[in-house]
Amino acid sequence: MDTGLSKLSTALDALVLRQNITASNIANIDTEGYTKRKVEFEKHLQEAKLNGNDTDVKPSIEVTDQKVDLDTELIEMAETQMKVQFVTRMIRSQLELTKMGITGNPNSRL
Amino acid sequence: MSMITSNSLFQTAASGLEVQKKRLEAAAQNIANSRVSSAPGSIGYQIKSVSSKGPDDINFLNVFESQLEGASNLQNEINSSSNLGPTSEIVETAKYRYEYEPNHPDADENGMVQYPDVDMVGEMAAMVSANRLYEANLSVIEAAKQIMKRSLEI
Repeated sequence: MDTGLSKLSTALDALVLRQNITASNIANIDTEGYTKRKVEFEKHLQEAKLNGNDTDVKPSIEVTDQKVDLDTELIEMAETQMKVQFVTRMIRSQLELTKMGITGNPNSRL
Repeated sequence: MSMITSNSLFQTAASGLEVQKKRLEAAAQNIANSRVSSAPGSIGYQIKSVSSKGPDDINFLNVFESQLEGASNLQNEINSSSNLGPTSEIVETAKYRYEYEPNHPDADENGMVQYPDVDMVGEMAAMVSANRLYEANLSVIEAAKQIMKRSLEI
């Protein structure tokens, strides 16, 4: 189907996964032996873009050797939320464009 | 996106809340029982502390797969845990200090009474830190709710 929309939905998946991992980092902040985990997605997307094939990019979970820092996690969480807002808005406007194409009415809203 | 997997987000934060609550509980018990006397040599009040264990690596894999493959892995998801939070238990350690109180009913022949060796400053600090980390986990839940709301607005 529409690759733009499917890419956006992958991005949303990646962001929810990242929120999951941030939740895990915060929940395990004083667990002995636990080190920070993070979700890589933007990097993969960029690399795929450079290689010219960005149709099937997936996020990955990486284990770092750093200790969990609460402030960093909270900032990352806020950032993830902003990105979720952005991606959902993008999806909405994509759908609106499609609808405009179907109806031929530039003022039609979903 | 599979909404069911977002449950793991709430589960994870709930485990985080649970651990911090246990730490608070342990601190409260230690402070409340810091002057519980016992006869030297007997088992008096034992100091409580929380020991926690991180999630298994397989749980990360579960979350990752169910997040990206969605409903096709639903069966898998039900059978295995996708909780990324810690598991914890309260452990007791017998650590005592002795005070010279010859008239005390629990005193031994040397006049020593046994009290649990509670580190008051440490317990207070643990209490404050548990409070803050509890709040951090609460804001994770708040963020998860926002994300779900946003997805419903598409």
